[in-house]
Amino acid sequence: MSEERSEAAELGRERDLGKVYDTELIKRLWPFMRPYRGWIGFNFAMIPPRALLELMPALVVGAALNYLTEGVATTEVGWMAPFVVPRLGLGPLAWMFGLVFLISIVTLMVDWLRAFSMISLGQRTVRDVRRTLFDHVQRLPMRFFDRYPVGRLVTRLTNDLEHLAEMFSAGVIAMVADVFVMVVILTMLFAIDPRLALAALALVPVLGIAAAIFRYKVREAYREVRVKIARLNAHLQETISGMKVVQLFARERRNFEDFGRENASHRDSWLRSIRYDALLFSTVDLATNLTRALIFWYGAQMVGLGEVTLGTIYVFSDYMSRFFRPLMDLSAKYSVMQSSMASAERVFQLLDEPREPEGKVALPAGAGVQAEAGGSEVEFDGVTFAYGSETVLRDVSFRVAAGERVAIVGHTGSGKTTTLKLLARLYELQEGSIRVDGRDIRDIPKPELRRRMAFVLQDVFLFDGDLRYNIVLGRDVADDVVDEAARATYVDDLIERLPNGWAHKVSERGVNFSTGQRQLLSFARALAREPQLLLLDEATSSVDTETEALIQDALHHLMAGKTSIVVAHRLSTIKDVDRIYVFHHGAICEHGTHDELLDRRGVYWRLYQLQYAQQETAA
Amino acid sequence: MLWSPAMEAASALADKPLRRLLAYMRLAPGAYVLGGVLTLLYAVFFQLIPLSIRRIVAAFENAPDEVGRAILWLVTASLCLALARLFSRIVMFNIGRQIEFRIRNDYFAHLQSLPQSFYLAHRTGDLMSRAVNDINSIRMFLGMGLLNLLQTPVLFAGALVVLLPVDATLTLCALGPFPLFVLITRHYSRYMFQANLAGQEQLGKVSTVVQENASGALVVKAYDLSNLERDRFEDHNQELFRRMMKVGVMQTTMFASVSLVPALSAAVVLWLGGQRVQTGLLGTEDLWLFWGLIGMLTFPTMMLGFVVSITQRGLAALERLGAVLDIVPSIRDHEDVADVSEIAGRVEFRNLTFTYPGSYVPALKGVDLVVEAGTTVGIVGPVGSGKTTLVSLVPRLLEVDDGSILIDGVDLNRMPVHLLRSSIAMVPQDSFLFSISVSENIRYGVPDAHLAEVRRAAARAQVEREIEEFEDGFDTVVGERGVTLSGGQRQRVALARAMILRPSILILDDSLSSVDHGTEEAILGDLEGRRRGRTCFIVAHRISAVRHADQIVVLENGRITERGTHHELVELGGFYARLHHRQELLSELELGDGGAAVPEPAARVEAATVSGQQRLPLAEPS
Repeated sequence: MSEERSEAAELGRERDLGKVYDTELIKRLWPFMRPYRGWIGFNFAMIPPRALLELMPALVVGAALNYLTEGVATTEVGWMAPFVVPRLGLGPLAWMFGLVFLISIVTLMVDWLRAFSMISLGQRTVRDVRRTLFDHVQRLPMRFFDRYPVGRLVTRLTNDLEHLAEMFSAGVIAMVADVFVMVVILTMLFAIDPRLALAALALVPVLGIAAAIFRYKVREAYREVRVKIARLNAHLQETISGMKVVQLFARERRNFEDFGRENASHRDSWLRSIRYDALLFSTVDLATNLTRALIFWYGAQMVGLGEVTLGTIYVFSDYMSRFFRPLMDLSAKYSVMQSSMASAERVFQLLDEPREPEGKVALPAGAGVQAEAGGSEVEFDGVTFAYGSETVLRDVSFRVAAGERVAIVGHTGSGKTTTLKLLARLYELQEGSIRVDGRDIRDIPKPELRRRMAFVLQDVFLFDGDLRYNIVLGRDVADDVVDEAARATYVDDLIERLPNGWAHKVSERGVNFSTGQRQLLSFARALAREPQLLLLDEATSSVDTETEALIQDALHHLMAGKTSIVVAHRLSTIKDVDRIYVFHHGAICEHGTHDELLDRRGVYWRLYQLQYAQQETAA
Repeated sequence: MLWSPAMEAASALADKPLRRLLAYMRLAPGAYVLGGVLTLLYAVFFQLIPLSIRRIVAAFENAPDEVGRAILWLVTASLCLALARLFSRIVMFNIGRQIEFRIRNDYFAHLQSLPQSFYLAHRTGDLMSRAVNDINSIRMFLGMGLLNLLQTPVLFAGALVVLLPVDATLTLCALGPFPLFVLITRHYSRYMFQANLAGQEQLGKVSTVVQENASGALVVKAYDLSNLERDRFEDHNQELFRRMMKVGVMQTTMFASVSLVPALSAAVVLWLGGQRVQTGLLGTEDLWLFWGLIGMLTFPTMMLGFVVSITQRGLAALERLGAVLDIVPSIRDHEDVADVSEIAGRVEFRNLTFTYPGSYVPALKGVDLVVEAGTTVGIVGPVGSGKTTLVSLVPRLLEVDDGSILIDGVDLNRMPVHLLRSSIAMVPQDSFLFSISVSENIRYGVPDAHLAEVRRAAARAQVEREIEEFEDGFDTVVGERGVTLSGGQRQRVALARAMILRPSILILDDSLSSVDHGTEEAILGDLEGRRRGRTCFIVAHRISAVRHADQIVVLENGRITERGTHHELVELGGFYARLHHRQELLSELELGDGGAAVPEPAARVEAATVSGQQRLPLAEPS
C-alpha cells in the first residue's frame, strides 16, 4: 500500500528528470568505475582502429570496381594502396575477397572485445554499487526503516541498478565512437575529393536541424510517457490494494472511466512519440538515398570528365550511409540514458541517507569493557525519548546490578519495548544517558555493545537458511555450545523430529514453524550467543499448554547467570525475577518484588488483575 | 527454412492464446489491412532503390544522357520508400499501442470484478508484474514483432524475384548465407531466453535477500549481523553479476557473429560476381544491385532472430495474462437473479460454514443468526475467530460456499450485486484510503455529493475539525504525496466515507479501535440517533461499542458460543463477561491515573505491530 504512494510521490520529482546526461551524477559514479578504468581505456583505444576497420571494406570494393572498369586496382586513399596489391599468387578478385573476409573477421573480434569490455565495466560497476548500497542500507538507523517502505528499497537495489547497467551497454562511449567515425569519414571524403564531398554533405545541415528538433521533441515525448506510465501503474496498484473498498462502494464503473482516461492519455503520448520516431527513421532513410542521388548526379559529370572513378562513387555512397546511420538509434539511446540517469539519481539519494552513528571506534587493545563473569551492570539515568514528536519515555532512571533479573511490566504503549531498544542503541536517545558497566553506551563501539547482549524480539524473525544457521547466525560457535543451547531450550526435540535435522531449510520467513517453536528457536539463538546481558521482549501470542510449559522452562534456563531485562507477559516470568519495574505512560511509577507490589495495591495490582490473574486461574 | 520463424510463431499460435490474440487483432482489422498494404508497398519500393542505382551505373558507362533520368528514378523511389516506411511504422506501432490500451483496460475492469478470495491468492506484486511486464511483451510482439514477421519474408521474396533473373547462381551464393543467419539468431535467442530467465531469477533472489534484510533490520542490528549479511548478499550479488555477464556475452557474441554474414555475402559477390563481370556475363551495375540488396536485407534479417524471441515472450505473456482474464468472476448476477428493487435489511445466516480457499480449517462453522431489519447486532470474540469473515460475506466480498445467507428472505446469491452493495455501507478494518483528496475519499461512494454533505459526514465521524486544520482543508491529498494521517484520523475518514451513504445495512468492522472513548461514544450516539430502520453490524473489541446492541453474539473459533443482550451475557459468565471485567479494570487503571488520553504515543507504534499480526487474511498487507 505504501509503495504505490511512493511511486506517486516520485512522479513529482520525475518531472524534472528529463536529463539525458548529468555531469554531477557521472562524477559520483566515477569512484565506482575507477577500478575498471582499464576497460574504459581499452574502449577508447579501440575507437580509431575500429573506425578504420569499418571504413576499409568500401575502399577494397572501390579498388575492385576500379579494377573491373579500368583494369587497374587503384585506390582512392594512398595508405590503402599496398593492401590492394594482390599477393600470394592470387588473382586481384580472390585477393580482395580474402581481404574483405579477413577485415570482417578482425572487425568481429574487435567488436566482440569492445562490447565485452563495456558489459564488463557496466556489470562490475553496478555490482560494486549494489554491494555498497546494500551495506549502506544495512547501516541506516532504525528510524529510516520505520518510514521507508521495504518495497521501495528492493526497487532501488534491483530495477534501478539494472537501468544503470543499461547505460553502459548502450551508452556514452558508443556515442563517442559514432562521432569519431563521422569525423573520420568527413576527413577522408575531403581528402579523396573535396568537390564531391561538398556535394555529398549538402543535406547534412537540413538533417542536422531535423535531428536537433527531434532531440527536443523526443525528450519531451519520452518524459511525458514515463510520467504517464508511472501514474497509470500507481493507479492500478492502488486499486488492487484497495479493491475491497472499490467493490464495497460500487465504484467500479467510475473507477474504470478514470483509469480508461489515463490509459488513453498514456496511449496518445506514445502515438505522438511513435510519430516522431517514425519521422526520424524515414527522414534519415530519405537523406541517405537522396545523398546517394546527389553523389551520382555530381559524380556523373566528373566521371564524364574522367576526374572520378566508379570506385570513388561507391566509396562515397557507402560512407555517407554510415555517416547517417548513428542518427537512427538516437531515440533509443536517449530513452536509455534518460531512465539510467533517473535511476542513478534515486540510487544516490539513498546513498546520501545518513548512517547510524557507529559509536567510538577501535579502543586501544584491552581498554574494552571487561566481561564480568556474572553479567553486565546496566544503568538508565534520566532517559527521555521520542519517536518524532511523540514522547515515549520520560525521565526514566533505574539500575540493574550484574547478574540481576528484572522484569518490566506495563500497559500497551507504556514504553517497555522502547527501553530495550534504547539499551541496544537501536535508536539514539534525546536526553539522559544509559551506562553499561559504568560506561556510556555512546562510548562503546556498537559491535562490541551488541556482542555482549542477546536481544529476543517479540516477533521472531527467521532467515533463509538452515536451522543451524538460524541459531548461530553466522558466528563461529562451537558445536557443543550449540547443542547445549538447543538442549536447554528444547529445540533438540524439535530437530529430532525433522527429517534433515540441523540441516532443515527454513523457508519463506519461517512459516513452517509454529509460533511456539519459533519462540524456542529464538531462545536457542540467544543462548548460543553466550551473552552477558539478555534483553527479552516476551511474545504475547498464546500457544498450546504443552509448548507453554516448555517455553517457561526454557526461559528459566535462558535467564540463568546473566543480567536479564525482560518485558514480561507471563506470570511465571514476573514471579521468577528479582525485581519488577512498572511503566505507566512512559515513566516508572512503581518498583519492587511481585509480593511487595501486590501489597501496595497500586497500578501493578490492577495490571496484575488485568493481565496476569487469569493465567493464575488457567494454570 | 527462411520461413521458419514465421512458421514457428504460427504453430505456437495454434492454441488458446491465438484466439485471444485474434480477438484483439479483430478489433483493428482496418489498421491491420492498412499495415499489410503499406508493408507490401514498402517491400516494392525497397527493391526499387538498388534497381534504380543499377540503372544509374549502367547509364554511367553506356549512356551518359540517361543518367539524369535514372537519378530522377532514384529520387522518386527514395521518396516513396520514405513515405511507405513512415506510414507502415506508424500504423504497425500504433496497432501495438492500441491493443496494449485495450488489454490494460480489460485487465483493469476484470480485476475489479474478481472476489476478495482471488486477492488472497494473488500478491499485488504479481498482479502488477502482469500489468507491466506481460502487457509490454504482448505489445512488442504485436507491434515490432508482427511488423518484422510480415515484412522480412516479403522483402526476401522481392529480392529473389529481382535477383534470380539477373544471375541465379550468384543469387544463391550471395543469399545462401542468409538462412544461416536466421539459424544462428534462432539458436542464440533460445539460449538467450534461458540466460535471461536465469538472470531474472537471480534478480528475484537478490530482491528476497534485500526484503528479508530490511524487514529484519531490528534483528540484523541487535545481533550485529551487518557483516555477515553483507557477505551473504555478496554471494547473491556475485551470482547475479555472473549471470548478467552471461546474458551480455551471449548478446555480444550473437550480434558479432551475425554481422559476419552480410560481410561474407558481399565478399562472395565481389569475387564470383567480379569474375562474371570479367567474362562479360554481368555488368558492373549488376554488382551494385547485389550489394545494394544485401545491404538492405541485413538489418531486417538481424531483427528476425530478435523477433523470434519477442514472439516467444509475447505468447508466454499472453498466456500468463490470459490465466487471470479467463477467471470467470464468481460474484456476479446469475440467470436466476431475484427481481428486488429495495432492501429492508433483515439478514439471516443459515447454518453457514466458510472455508478460505487453500485452507483446511473452516473460518466459520455452522453459524445460525437472524438480524431483524432495523436492529443492531454486536459481534465480539478473540482475534481470528471469524468476525471479519462473517460480516464480509454480507456484501458478497466473499462467496458463500456452504449454508446460506438470506436478505429479506432472498438468497444472497440471487440478490443483484449492485443493489446489494449500494444498500450496504461497510467500514472495513484496515481503513484503506486512496491517494486522492480527503473530500474525494469521503464522497467515494457518491461522487456527486456536495461539499456540505461531505462536511456533515466528516462532522458525524468526529473528524471535521482536524481536517479543517490541514493546510488545504478538505482538498488535502492523503498519502505520501500529501499529508500522512494518523491511524485514528484514517479510521474516522473511512467512517465518514460510509456515513455519507444512506444504507439499509451498516457494517462497522472494528472501525472504532483507534479512536478514544469519548469520540467513540459521540459517534455511536450519532448512529443511534439516525438508525431509523437501519440494520447495524458492529464488530468490536471494546464492550462499550456493543453494549447497547439489540443482541450480541460471541464468536470463538468460527462458532457462535454466546448470544444475548449485554446484561444476559454478563450474567452468563463466559467470554463476554471476562472481557467486560477486564475492560472495567482497564478503565479504572486509566481513570486512576487522572484519566489520561488513550491514544498515547508509543501505543500507536506497538498497536501498529499488533494489528499487523492480527490482520485477518482479508486485509493481507500488500
